[in-house]
Parts: sequence; C-alpha cells; structure tokens
Amino acid sequence: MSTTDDLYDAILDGHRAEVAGLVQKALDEGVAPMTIVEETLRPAMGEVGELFSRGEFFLPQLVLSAAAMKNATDHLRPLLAGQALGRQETVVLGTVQGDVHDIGKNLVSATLEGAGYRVVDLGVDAPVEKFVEAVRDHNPAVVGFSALLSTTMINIPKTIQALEEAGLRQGRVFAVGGAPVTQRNADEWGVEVYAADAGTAVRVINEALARRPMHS
Amino acid sequence: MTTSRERFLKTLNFEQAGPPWFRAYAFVWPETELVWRTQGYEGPELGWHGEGLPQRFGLDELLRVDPWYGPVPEFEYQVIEEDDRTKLYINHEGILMREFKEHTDTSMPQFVKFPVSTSEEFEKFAAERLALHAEQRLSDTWKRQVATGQLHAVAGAANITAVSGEAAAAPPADEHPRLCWADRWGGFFGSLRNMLGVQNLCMAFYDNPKLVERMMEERADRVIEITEEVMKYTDFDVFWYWEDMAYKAGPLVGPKLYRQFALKHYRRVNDWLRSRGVKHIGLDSDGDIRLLIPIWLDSGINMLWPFERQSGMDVVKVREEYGHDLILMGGIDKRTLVPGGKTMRREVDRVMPLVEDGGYIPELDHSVPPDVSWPNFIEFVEYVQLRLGRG
Repeated sequence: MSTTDDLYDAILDGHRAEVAGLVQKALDEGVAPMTIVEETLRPAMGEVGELFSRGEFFLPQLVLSAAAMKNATDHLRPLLAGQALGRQETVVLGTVQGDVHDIGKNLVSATLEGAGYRVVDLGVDAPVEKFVEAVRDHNPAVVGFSALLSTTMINIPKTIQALEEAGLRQGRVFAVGGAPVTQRNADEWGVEVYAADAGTAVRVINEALARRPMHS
Repeated sequence: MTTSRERFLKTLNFEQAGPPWFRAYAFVWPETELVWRTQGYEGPELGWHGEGLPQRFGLDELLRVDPWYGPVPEFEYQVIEEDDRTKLYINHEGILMREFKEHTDTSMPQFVKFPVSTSEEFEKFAAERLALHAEQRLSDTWKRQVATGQLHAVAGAANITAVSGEAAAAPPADEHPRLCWADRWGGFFGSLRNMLGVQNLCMAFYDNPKLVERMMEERADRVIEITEEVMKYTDFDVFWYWEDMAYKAGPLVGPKLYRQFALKHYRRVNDWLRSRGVKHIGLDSDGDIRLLIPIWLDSGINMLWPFERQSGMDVVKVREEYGHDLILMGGIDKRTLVPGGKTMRREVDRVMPLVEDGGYIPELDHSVPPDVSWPNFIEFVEYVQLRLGRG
C-alpha cells in the first residue's frame, strides 16, 4: 500500500493521531499538497459520508473521520497558501432564529470543510439579518439552513424570503436539513437541496452545484 | 371490577383486559396548553403531565415511584450570562447550557459544556454526586407519597411531587399500575451523554474505551443499589430506562459498537431486576430504533415506547417482526391529530388489531404538540375510547 492509501484508510478509520504523519510522509515522497487533497482526502471523506448515509457508519465514525480530516487539512494549510483548499465554493451555514441546536449543523460543517468547502458558520439562533449580511459579505455558492424543531423550522422559509427580497437568491444553491425538515418541506420552500443527514450533505450539495452554472 | 393495575398487567401479559388499558398520551407540551386555552380548554393548569385530563376523560394512569437517579446533591442553578432573549447557565446536572428565556419547553437548549471530560473528573463526579445518598434520594416526602399512592401520573419531573386536589385524594394506593423510571440516569448511552456530551462520548468509544466501560459499570452498580432501596418501600410493575439514542435516520451509535459495550451492563441490571420479581422492563428512545431492538431484547428488555412515526417506526411492523417477545406502547402518529377527522381515525384503526393481539398500549407516539387543537385532541380520545369499547 502506498502512503496515500494509508492516509485514505486513516481518514476512513478516524485515526486522528496518524494523519499528520502520513500527510508529511506523502509530502516527503513528493506528492503535491493539492494532489493529497484532491485525490486522497476528499475521496476518503466522500466515502465516509456515503457509508454514513447507507447506515454502515454511525455518528462516532463520522465525528472521528471529520476530526482526522481536520488534522490533515490543518497540516496542509500552510503549504496551500494562496491556493484554494479543494473546491472554490463557499458555504454560509446556520441554525435559524429561535433554535439553539447545533450538533447536526456542526457535523455538516465539518464534513463540508473536509470536502474542501470554505464554511462560514453563522452558529445558532441566527436571525434573518445575519444570513443576509453574511451572504452579501461572502458571496457563497451555497446557503444552508438548519432547524431542530417543527416550531422553529418555520423560520427557514422566512429567512429564504428575506434573502430573495434582498436580491441574494439568484445563482445560489439553497440547502435545508434538520430533524423535522423533509424533502416535502424543501419542495414547498423552493429549495434545491434537502440533506437527510450529515453524511448526505456533501454529496447532494456537490450534485446540485454540478447541475447549475457558477454564481456570479 | 378489575382495577386499572390489573388491566395494565393483563395487557402486558398478552391477555384481554376489559376494557383495554388506555392513557392516550404521555406528556403535554406547555405551549399546547397555551393554544388549548384559546380553543375552549378551561380546566386546571395541565403541566407536563396533563393534570386533570385522566379524570376528565376517564383515562388510565401510570404512577411513577422512582426517586431521582441523577446527581445528588444536584448542582446549584447558576446563571453565567444572559441577554434579552437567552441565558447561559449551569443546570442541576452540571451541564452548561444556553436556553431561550421564553418557550423553554418547546425549544431545545444548546449544550455548551459537560461536567466530565476525563477519567479523573468522572471518578470525582461519581464519588461526590452519584453515590447512593439514600436520605436525599428517598426523602420522607417520597416515602409518604409511595405509601399513599399520591404520586404524579406518567412522567416528566426529576423528583416526585405531591399531586394536588381531588386527584391526590381519590385513588387507593394499589389501584394504578406503578412505574420505576430511572429517567435520564438509568441507561448506558443517555446517562453517559449527560456527563460527556454526545460528541465526546462518540470519540470516547474509540479514544478512551476504559472510561466508557467504567462509566457504564458505575451506572449499573448505582441503578441496582438505588432500585434496591426503592423496593424497601414500594413495589412496581415496570422498570424503565431512558436512552433517546436515535434520530430519524437511525441510531446515533452503531449496533455492533453498542452491543459490544452496553449489552452486559443491561443484562446485569435486568437479571437482577428479574431476580427481584420485576417481570416487565421497558425503554424509552425516540427516533428510528430498529437496529437497536435486537440488542435490547437480548438484554432482557421486553417493552418499548414511543415508536415515532415521523422517524419511520411502525408498531404493526415491529409486532410482525418480534411477535409477543416485545410489548409495544405508543405508535399512534401524533401528526394525524393536526388535521384530525378521517386522517386521525385511519391512523387509530391501523393499530387496533394490535389491541386484539395483546401486549400493546395504544397512545400517541410522544408528547401532544401545540399544533394539535383541543377539539381534535378530544376527538382523538373519544374515538379511541369508542374503538376500545370504553365509551
């Protein structure tokens, strides 16, 4: 097995302590930093997401793999100065106003970062104005909305409406998720992406971005 | 004339109980009461337990005899910081959490920091807060209440408090079935999550398995020790665990890992309970629990609640798969009460064959949410009563 194969497996198995050493070993063997990201780290995290979605991986494996991925990208980040780490797209993500739940959102954030997205995490209880301001400031390709409760998810369409009224919807992928949120809700709200879980989020966002032209 | 307790036990023993045991719901969200008061409800303050509803509708009740299985002494409530809408505080379990000031019961707090992160912290926490402390857990008030049957029906509060008014005065001590619920500190995932937090617990299974093993062992020791004390003062018909370890897409922890860690601890507690004559052992977990049911059955648990339809649970399919090995409670989709009428009746009709089959208690698949109107709730209770021949 090559060093990059070992690194792939270390991400898959969530061996956080090993990944920095394996990244360094691959670099010493002459593998370019971006090649490590594009050909090893991102595919490994993609497989983690798929295994989670298929019910073969569970929360502990997802948490450990995301942490291992972070260790790997932290080690590579100084070497990638001036280059985007993986995908160019920025994701603005937050739990909508009235809801302070964040475990699911944090996992989505970690897996998206692992997949190379730049994530702007608005945290919990994010008011409409915070979403509008963040979308203006960061010009993201993707905006993600999370809610845990049926009583708070009504703030997702309100936030979407505010973004539309501010002229910030055009050319972006909107994504929703959270315990009470369903595909039917996404359809009703005119949202392109519904992610049933943190493992699915990266794949469905990747697919949605691939289907549409880049935003301005 | 059979008592409610006798009918409850007949149901759990897959015998026909005439009329079938029925309590309709387990909890009522506080916001639900606010809505109901605008829709014609004029009764007493409902609280979590739906105070007065059993008397109003002639429902059965399940009385709790459990003391508090969690930290004793409880942590002192301490507000760390607050703004107009939220406050950051340490709760009675030592968890630092941020919560909205309004509608706290229908929103969920953000868990900021948990009381345990290392083996040393756990040993200190266990020695200081989790020991028996029998005088505090089983207070004189508790002893008086279990002796007289003046207990809250169903569940919700950390400590038993006396019920008020005619409800307290009415029932003889042995009329209603009794439940000993170890609540948030009885299971082997839920209680560890209370101490470590879900993400740290997930990592501990791999990073510090000895800590997980030690924590589960301590919980089993303590649950047995506290329950043994309870048995000195009262009997009960069901012992109950709380786990809440699944969400709509499945369990938080995979069945292989959970079986490896938790099965022997469940078995130890369950074997001890059975040796003390407790026939029925139940467990509460929301979410899609299908992958976990075999572990719980193997451990000796024989009763589950609430079978949330929104998470894909279906009591009819569970009965087909596990037959009479498993007693079912709940499973009626609360969301069908929102439109009510035909939608609700179709859902109730769907589960009625299980009542005929026995070992099934029909009720909502969790608390009554605020989008269920008061008239629709009445319609639901009356329809089930009619179907059960209780009307």
